[in-house]
Amino acid sequence: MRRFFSTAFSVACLALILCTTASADLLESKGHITFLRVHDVGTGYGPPSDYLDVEVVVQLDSQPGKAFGFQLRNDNFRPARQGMLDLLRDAFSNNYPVLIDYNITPPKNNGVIIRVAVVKQ
Amino acid sequence: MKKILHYPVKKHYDPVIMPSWRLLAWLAFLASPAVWGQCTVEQSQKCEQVCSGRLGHLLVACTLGCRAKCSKPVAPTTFNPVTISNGTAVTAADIASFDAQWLSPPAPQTAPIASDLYWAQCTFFDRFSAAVWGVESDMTAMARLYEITHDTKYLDILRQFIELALQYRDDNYNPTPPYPCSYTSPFAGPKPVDDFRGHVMPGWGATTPDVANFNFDSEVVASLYGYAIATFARIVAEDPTLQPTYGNDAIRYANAALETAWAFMPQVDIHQVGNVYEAHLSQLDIYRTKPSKSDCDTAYNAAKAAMDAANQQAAAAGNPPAYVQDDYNRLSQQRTNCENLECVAGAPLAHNESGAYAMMMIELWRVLDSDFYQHSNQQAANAGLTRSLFPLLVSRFHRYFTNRTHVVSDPRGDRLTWHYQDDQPSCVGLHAEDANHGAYDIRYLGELRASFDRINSAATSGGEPIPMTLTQLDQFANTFLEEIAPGANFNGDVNGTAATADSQGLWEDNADCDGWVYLAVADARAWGVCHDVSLRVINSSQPYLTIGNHSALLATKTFSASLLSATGKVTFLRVNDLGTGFGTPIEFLDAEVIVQLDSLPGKSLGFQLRADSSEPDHHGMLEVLRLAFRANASVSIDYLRNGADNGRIMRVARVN
Repeated sequence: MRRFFSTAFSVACLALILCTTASADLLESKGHITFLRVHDVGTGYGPPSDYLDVEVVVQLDSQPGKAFGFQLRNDNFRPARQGMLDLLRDAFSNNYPVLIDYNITPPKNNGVIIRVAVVKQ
Repeated sequence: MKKILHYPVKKHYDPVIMPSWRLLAWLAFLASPAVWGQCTVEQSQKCEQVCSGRLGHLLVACTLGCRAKCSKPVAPTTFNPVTISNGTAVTAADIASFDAQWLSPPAPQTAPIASDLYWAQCTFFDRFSAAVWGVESDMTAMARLYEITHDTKYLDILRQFIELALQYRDDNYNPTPPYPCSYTSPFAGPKPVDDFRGHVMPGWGATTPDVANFNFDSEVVASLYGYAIATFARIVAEDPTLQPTYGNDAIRYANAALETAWAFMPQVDIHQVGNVYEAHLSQLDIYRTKPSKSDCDTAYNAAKAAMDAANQQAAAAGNPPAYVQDDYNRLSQQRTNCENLECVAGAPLAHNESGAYAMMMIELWRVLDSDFYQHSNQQAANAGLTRSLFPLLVSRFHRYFTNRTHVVSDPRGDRLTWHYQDDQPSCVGLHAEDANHGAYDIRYLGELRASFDRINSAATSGGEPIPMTLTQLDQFANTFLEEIAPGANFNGDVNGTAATADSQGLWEDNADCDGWVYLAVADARAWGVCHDVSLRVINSSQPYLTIGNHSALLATKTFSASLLSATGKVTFLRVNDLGTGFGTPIEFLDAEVIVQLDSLPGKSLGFQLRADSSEPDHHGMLEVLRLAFRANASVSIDYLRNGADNGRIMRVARVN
């Protein structure tokens, strides 16, 4: 009886574990900047099916064919976004790699950056 | 990712007065009846009986005091109060003071750990399972000191305790002569069956009037010993340098603790609340029918008759009575406890008891999750299942506990209140958690926090993140500071009910810091309070100092200050979107700029960069960090600690 209980308990627990799924929208990429652009508010980037409503766009050598961006507008997000752009500029000028975290919806090629970091090699 | 704690301990201090092997030989001698075994069997058992109703350090103090009356007389010694140095680093002097107090030769009376080893064997043998409150404290102290110093002498002592524990665990219990501690016969037959569960348990059974003198393996006793045993295994499993010497024992201990954990799994009660789960340990269902009232009466009558006979014998010899009214009152309470079992059948155990089980699961999971264990050909058949299951159970245990805490908000700040136990039948009156059991609740929280990143990651992968946050820890810390310790002496419970001094003018709850001090991670003032109370000198003694709170103070010394500074080169510099922040829930930085320094491995510091009055200053701080990163120059940063590993930056300066 005890063995039955333990086995049943174990199976139930395992079922609970295996039935769970995880989200995969937030990705991270590291690479050297091959392209860095800032453009007017509202002009955006990309085709209608993969459009980024952003002002800063960056491409990495490790992600050919993809582009990542964020908005730089006069709102509450501006100070941090300006800081993110500053880091991208530093990395481009000094040719060191950057680490970007971005939200992207598969199978699209363009994503929205939420974090920019530089890391000592 | 494996997280390694770095304690700023000076590496090459003189750790002991003599080499480790000589110290162990000393301990072996000191832990022998030749030195300590002056108490008769009757005297020893009387101490156990008289003290059995006490818990935690209260039991330790009771048994120590009782045994002192019959142990070998102790020569007077010079009082050298224990001190702990200033600063957040554990120093060689701190360790020397610990060793001198608890385990250094040359005088036996200055080596309590040796006497504790002796008495541990006696109490394992005579099945006085309540001794766990003292023995586990010794075991955990040794684990803490090893983790601080990396001196294997502490592991060696811990191993001696574990060997005793396993030797006398019910499924191994089969002593052969000569028996320890002057005993002339064992206290149970070989491998005694748990009379409630109907089979032999990998636990530590005992027969007391509380359970009608049936053999019963207590959940909390098994959990605390299992925790200490698993801790040894975890330390070894995560340190390859220890594995050649201790690896085989670590695997054996892990498997033994695994047996204990699973033996009590039928009492893990899981229930769904909305779309999440809660879990806790529950009382046995069989209490509905066993013990009967008649069983309880029989056990009570037998114990009372023995006490009466002893008193009559004492009177005939012209001696004072062996048992006084307090002893009879305690026995009556045990009969009441016994009779109440029917009512509490299936009800949740107290929070500290479920917490102890969760502590065992956390340590055990870290062993099972290690490369060392997973590559062992001795791993248990259910190790894989356990590895997947325990993070979820820990999450559910924590959810059950925290869902039964309540926020109190007033000008003294947000704090939490909770009961000793919840969801009880009407025969059980709920009361605020007391300071002593609360300390064990907080020990569990400290254990979870220390392993949080890894086990929460596993629980989150299973869809059940552990609902622990820094805000929650802050609120627990405020409970301690505002309700338990607002004055010179600790209050009795988490609602601030005043305690009273005992007949000697001592406040027993003042010794409860092994537990509460772990809240220093959220508020450094908790460490300061515990330091002052635990080390308080009264009449040339430190009555509130225990090996448990002393080791806990050292283990948390790194959290004894909140305003810190560091100098180093920037290895990581990040700017993130407003509000996305950084870090796990227990050390979350609500910041947009994050920096890591080569001098602070594993730690992250940050500040906000928002459209507010601080923007110009914070923009300037980012400029300094960017320039330092580019130039590979050092920066000096002042920061307020935010959880264990993160900090909120106040000042940044370039230093070269």
